[in-house]
Amino acid sequence: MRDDIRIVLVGDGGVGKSTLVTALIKETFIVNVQSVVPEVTIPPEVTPENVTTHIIDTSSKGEDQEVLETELRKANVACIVYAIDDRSSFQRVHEYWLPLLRLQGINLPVILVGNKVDMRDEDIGHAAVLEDEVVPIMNEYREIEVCVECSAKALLNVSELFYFAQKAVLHPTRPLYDARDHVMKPKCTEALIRIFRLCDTDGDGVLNDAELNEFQRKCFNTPLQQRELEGVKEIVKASRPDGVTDIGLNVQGFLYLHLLFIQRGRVETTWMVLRKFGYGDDLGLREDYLCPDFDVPPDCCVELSPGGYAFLTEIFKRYDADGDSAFCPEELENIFSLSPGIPWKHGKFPESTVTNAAGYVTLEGWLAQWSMTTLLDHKQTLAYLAYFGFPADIRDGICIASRDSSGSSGPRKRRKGKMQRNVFLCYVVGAAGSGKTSLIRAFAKKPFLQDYVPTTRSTTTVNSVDVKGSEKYLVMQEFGPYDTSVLQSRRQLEFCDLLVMAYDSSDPNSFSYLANLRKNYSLDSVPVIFVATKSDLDYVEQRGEQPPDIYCRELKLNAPVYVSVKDSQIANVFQRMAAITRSPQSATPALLLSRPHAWSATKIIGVTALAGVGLVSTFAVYQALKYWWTSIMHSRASSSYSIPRRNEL
Amino acid sequence: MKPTTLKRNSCFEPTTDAQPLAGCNNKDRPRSLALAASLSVVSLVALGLLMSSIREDDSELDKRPSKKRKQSKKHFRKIYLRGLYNLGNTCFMNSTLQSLSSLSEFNTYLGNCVGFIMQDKQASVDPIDSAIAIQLKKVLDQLKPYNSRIAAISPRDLINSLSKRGRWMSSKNEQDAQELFQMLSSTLNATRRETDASLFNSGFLSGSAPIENAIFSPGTTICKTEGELSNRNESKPGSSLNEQPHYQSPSRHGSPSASYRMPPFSNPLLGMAASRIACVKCGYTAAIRHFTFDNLSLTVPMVRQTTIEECLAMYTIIDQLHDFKCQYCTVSVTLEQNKKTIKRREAELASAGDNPKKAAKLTALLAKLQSQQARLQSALVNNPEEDLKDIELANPSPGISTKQTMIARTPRILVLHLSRSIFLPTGDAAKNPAHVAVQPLLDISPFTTTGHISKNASKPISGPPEISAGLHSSSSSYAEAKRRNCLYRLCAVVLHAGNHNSGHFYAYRRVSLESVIERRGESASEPAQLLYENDSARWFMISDTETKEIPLSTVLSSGQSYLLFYERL
Repeated sequence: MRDDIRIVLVGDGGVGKSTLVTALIKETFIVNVQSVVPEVTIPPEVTPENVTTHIIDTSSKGEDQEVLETELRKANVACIVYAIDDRSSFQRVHEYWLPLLRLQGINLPVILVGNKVDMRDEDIGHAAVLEDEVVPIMNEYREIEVCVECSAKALLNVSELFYFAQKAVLHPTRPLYDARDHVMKPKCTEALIRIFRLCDTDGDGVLNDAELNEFQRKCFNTPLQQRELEGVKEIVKASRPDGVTDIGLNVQGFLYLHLLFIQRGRVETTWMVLRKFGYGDDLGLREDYLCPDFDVPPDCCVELSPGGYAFLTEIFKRYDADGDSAFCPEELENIFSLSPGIPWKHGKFPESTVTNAAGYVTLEGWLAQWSMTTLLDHKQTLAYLAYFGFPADIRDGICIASRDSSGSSGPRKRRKGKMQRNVFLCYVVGAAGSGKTSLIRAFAKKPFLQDYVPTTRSTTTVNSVDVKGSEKYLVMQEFGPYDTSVLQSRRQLEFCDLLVMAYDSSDPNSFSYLANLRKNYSLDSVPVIFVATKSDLDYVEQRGEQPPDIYCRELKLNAPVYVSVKDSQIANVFQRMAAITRSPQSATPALLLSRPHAWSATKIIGVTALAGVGLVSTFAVYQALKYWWTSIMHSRASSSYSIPRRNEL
Repeated sequence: MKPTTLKRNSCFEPTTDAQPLAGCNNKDRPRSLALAASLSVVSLVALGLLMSSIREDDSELDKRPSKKRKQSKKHFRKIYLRGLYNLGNTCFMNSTLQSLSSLSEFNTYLGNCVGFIMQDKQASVDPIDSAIAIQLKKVLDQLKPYNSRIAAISPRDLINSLSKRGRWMSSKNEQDAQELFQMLSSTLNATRRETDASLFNSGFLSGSAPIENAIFSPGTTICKTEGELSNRNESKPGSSLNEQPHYQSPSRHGSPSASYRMPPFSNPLLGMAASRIACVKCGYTAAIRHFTFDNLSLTVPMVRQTTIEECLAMYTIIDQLHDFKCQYCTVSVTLEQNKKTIKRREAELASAGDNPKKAAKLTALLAKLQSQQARLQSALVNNPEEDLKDIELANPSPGISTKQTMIARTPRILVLHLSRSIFLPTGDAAKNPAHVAVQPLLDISPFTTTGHISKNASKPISGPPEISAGLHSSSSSYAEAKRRNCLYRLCAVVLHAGNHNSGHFYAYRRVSLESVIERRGESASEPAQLLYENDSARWFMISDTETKEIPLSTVLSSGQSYLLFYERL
C-alpha cells in the first residue's frame, strides 16, 4: 500500500477550495483566505487512513492552466469543488472540469464536492443544486467515486471530504463494484471465490466456524465473536437462504456478505481481505507476494522445508476428492485452478514422477515432483505455495541447504561430505540409444517401452530412494543430444550431485563415447557411477584403450553396474546412487586419486629426518663460524699487545 | 519501593518560590522521621505492613490540616484536594497527575479512552496501554476536589503499570515530569486504535442501509428512485434484526451513513504545527509540512526575567540554516553542469568527424546526457525532491535557508514545556533559573497561522492577524482571539525547585468551584463554561501530600514553572 497521497482541489474561483483546505488544517472557519494556499502536507496520525497527505490547492485562472495540469498529472485523486449556491459553478463541473480531466487523459478517481451546504435554501426550486442533478452526472462519469456536500463555514463534512478522497485512492470502489448494475465485478468475484477455496481447508465447500475464525484472524488479526458471526449468518440467510448451510457459510453467502459491505460503502473491508491474500490494486496477485526476495548463497541449493512438505501433503489430501490417494485429471485441474495452471507442461507431467497404475499422481509422486521443482527452480515453488495459500510467509515453505559443509570450492568441497540435503540432482549421460530414457523412466516406475524413440530434449524424472532408513529424493535428468553442452558448462556441473554414465553393454562403441567425454571435459571432481545397460542382450567386448572395468579401477571407482530395465534387473542401482550422494567422496575420482599420497608415514619420517639433518648442519656451521671469529679477535688482541712491547724494547 | 522519607533527603523542599510550603514542611518533619523509623523496619519486603502503616498515616493526616484550612474563611465553600504520597522520587509524577486532574477536557478524554478499552471485546488494545489508562483514570478520579477533608493516597497501582512500560519507574533516580506527560499522552493515543474492521460486524450490517448513489450530505440520506428497488430488498434483513435489540449498535458518528470510520473521539492534547523550510537563494519552498504535537517544548532565554509570550515568540522565530542543502538549487546546478558538458561534448563530436569509433562513443554519451537533462528539467518543474537515482547530483555550496514553525491547529489543551536545561561548555548541564512571567489568560494568535501562508523565506509563514475594526480594548481582542480558537486559560502548573540534577517538582492547580465533588454521594454538576472576565476559581499548591490554598498572585509571580497546562476557551 502506498504511504502518501496527493489530493488536488480544482473548481471555479470563489467556490471555497482554499477555505476548505484552511478549515481542514485549522478546524475553524477563516473568512479571509488567500486565493491559492501553498501545498500543505498533513501528517498521517491526523488522517483516518494513516497516510501522509499532500493537499494541493489550484487556481482556475487561465494563466495558471499549465500548473494546474502538471498538478493533476502528479495527483492521486482530484476533488472537483462547486458551490451549492452558485449554479454556474455546478454547471461547469460537467461542462468543463470533468471533460478537462478526460481530455488530459488523466484517469483519476474524482470526488465531487458541493461546498457551502449551509447556504442551501430549504425552498426547493431556488438556485440551489439538487441531488437529482448530481446523479446523472455520476452515472455518466464513472470516475466519480462519491459526491460530498460540505460546508467550510459550518465545519460540516470537511474532514470527511478529505477522508473520502484518501479512500478513493486506497480503497477504490470502481475495480470491485459495478454501481450501475449493482453487482460485483467479475475479477473481484473470481478473486473472492479463490480466497473462499483457500480458506475452506477441509474442502467441503462450506466455511465452518473454525475456518471462519482462521479467516478472521488472518485478515483482521482479531478473534471472531461468536455472537457477531451468528448475527451475520442471520443477515445473509434472510436475503440469500442458499448462502448459509447448517455448517456455515458457502461461497454464495461469502460473496453476498462482501457485496453487502461494498454496497454499504465499507469497500475497505473487502480490500483488506484481498490485500491479505496478496491481491494488488489490479486484482491480480502482487509480484512481491508471488516472488518475494529470497537469496540463495553460492554453493547452496533450495529444498522444501518440513513446513512446505506438510502443507503440500495437506493440500493433496484436501483436493483428493475421491480419496484414492491419487490425483485424477479432474482433481489436478481443480487444484491448479487456484493458479494459472500446471507449471510442468513441457516436463511431461505426470510422466516425470510416481503415479499409480492408472497413471494418476500419487502423494509420493506429488511430493517428489515438488521436491524436484524446488531444486530446479525454487521461484516456481514459491509462487505456487502462494497460489495454494500457504498459511505463513511463503518463504517458510522452502529452506536453504548447503551443498557441502566445508563451504570451499574445488575438489576439496566434496571431501567432508556430511550432507543435510534430501534432494539430489543426477545427470544421466551416454551415447544415443544407450538406454538413458528407459533408465530414468524405470526410476519413476514407468513401464518399459519397446519402441526406441530418440530423446530430443532434456527430460527429468524424480522419485524417492530409501537410504539406511532415511528417504532421499533423486532427480534424474538427461539431456538428449545436448550432453556435451551441459558437461562443458562449469555452472551446470556445479549443480550436479552425481554423474550417471550409461553405456549399452551390447554395443561395442558405447563405452568409448563416455571415455571421450571424460577425456574432453574435466569431470573428475564430480561423483560418478558407471551403468552398463541392456544386460539382457548379448555381452559384447567394448572397443577402446581399456575395457570398462579396468577403466573404472584406474579411476579407483567401482566396476560398472549391469542392469536390464526390460527384465527389471536393475541391481539396486538407484540405491547405489543414493548411497553415493550420501558419501560423495567414495565416488569422486579427483579425491580418490589424490588421497593415498597425501601424508604417508614414510613421508613424515623423511621430512622429519631432513629437518633434523638441517638443524644439525646449521648448528655445526654456527660453531665453526664462532670458532673462526674468536680466533681472529684473539690474534688481533695479541698483536695489539705486542706493539707496546716493541716500544719497550 | 522505598519509604517515603528516604526520598525526602534527595528531593529537598522548595525554598524561595514556595514560601507557604516551608512552615508545613517543618511541622511535618518530626512526624515523617518517626514514620521513617517505623518504615525502615519493614521497608522493602513487608508490603502488607507498609500498607497498614500508610493507612495509619492517612488517619493522622485527616486530623492535621484542619487548622490551616480555616484560614480561608473568606470563601464560603470549602475545597479540599487530595495529596499523593511520594513513593521514592515520584514527586515528578505526583505533580503531573495533580495538574492533569484539573484539566476537565483531559478527564473526559481519559474517560472515553477507558470506556473504549472496557468496550473493546476483541482486546485489540495493548494490555500495558490499557492497564496504564485504567490506573490513570482511577488516580485522577480520586484527585478531584472535595468539599470535605480527604486523605492522601498512594498511586502505587499506577506506578506498577507504568513500570511494565520499561525503564519507567524502574530506577530510583528522579525523572522528568515532561517525559512522563509525553508517555501518558502517547499511551492514551495508542488506546484509540481503530478496531471495527471485520467482515463479521452484524451491528454495522443491520444498522446501515446500502448507499445507492454515493452522495453524502450532512444530515440527510438520499435514496434515489433508481436504487429504491434494491434498497427495499436490502432492508428486509435489517427489519428482521430490529427485533433483536442486542445486535443494534448505536450510531456512533451521527453521520448520514456509517460508511466512514472516523476516530470515535479526538485527543484534546493534539495540535498541529506548520513548518516551512525555504531557500533564500532560489526562493524554493517545499510543501508547508504539518506535524502534530501534544506539548510544545519552549526554550527559555538566558535572561533574568521573561514572559511566556517571549518564549513562544522564540519558538516561532525564523531560524537561519546555513548547512541546509536546497534540493531545487542542487538540481538546477546539476542541470547547468549537464548543459555545459553537453556543449563540450558536442564540440568534441564536431571535431572528431573522421574518427568513427570516437564519434559513436560520443554520440552514445550525448544521448545519455540529454536524457539526463530531460529528467532534470522535469524534476525542476514537477518535483525537485524526486529521487534521481543514477544521476550524479552536483554539490553546490549550501546557501542560506530559513526554517520556521508556527501553530496551525490549536489544541483544546495546550501544554507548554519550558526547557530550562542549558549545556555549559564544560559539557555539564545546568538549570536556567530565568523567571518566566505567566498570565491567567494566554492569547496565542500571534504564533498561529492565518488564512494567508507565505512561501517567502524572509517572511513569517503568516503575518500578524488583521485586527477587525472596532475598539482595541483588551476584552475585544480577547474575543477576537477566542473566535480564532487562540485564547487559553491557565489551569495547572508544574514547578521545579532546585538545580538541574536534583530538585523537587510540585504543582499549582486551578479549581473551579463547579468541579468540587459533593461527598454526600451526589456527584458534581458539569463545570459550566466560566466567562473569562470573571474567573471565580481558586488555586491550590500541592507538593506530594501537602495541599494548601494560595492566591492567584502567587501562581503568577512564582516564575519557576516547568510545565504549563492551558485550556482553550
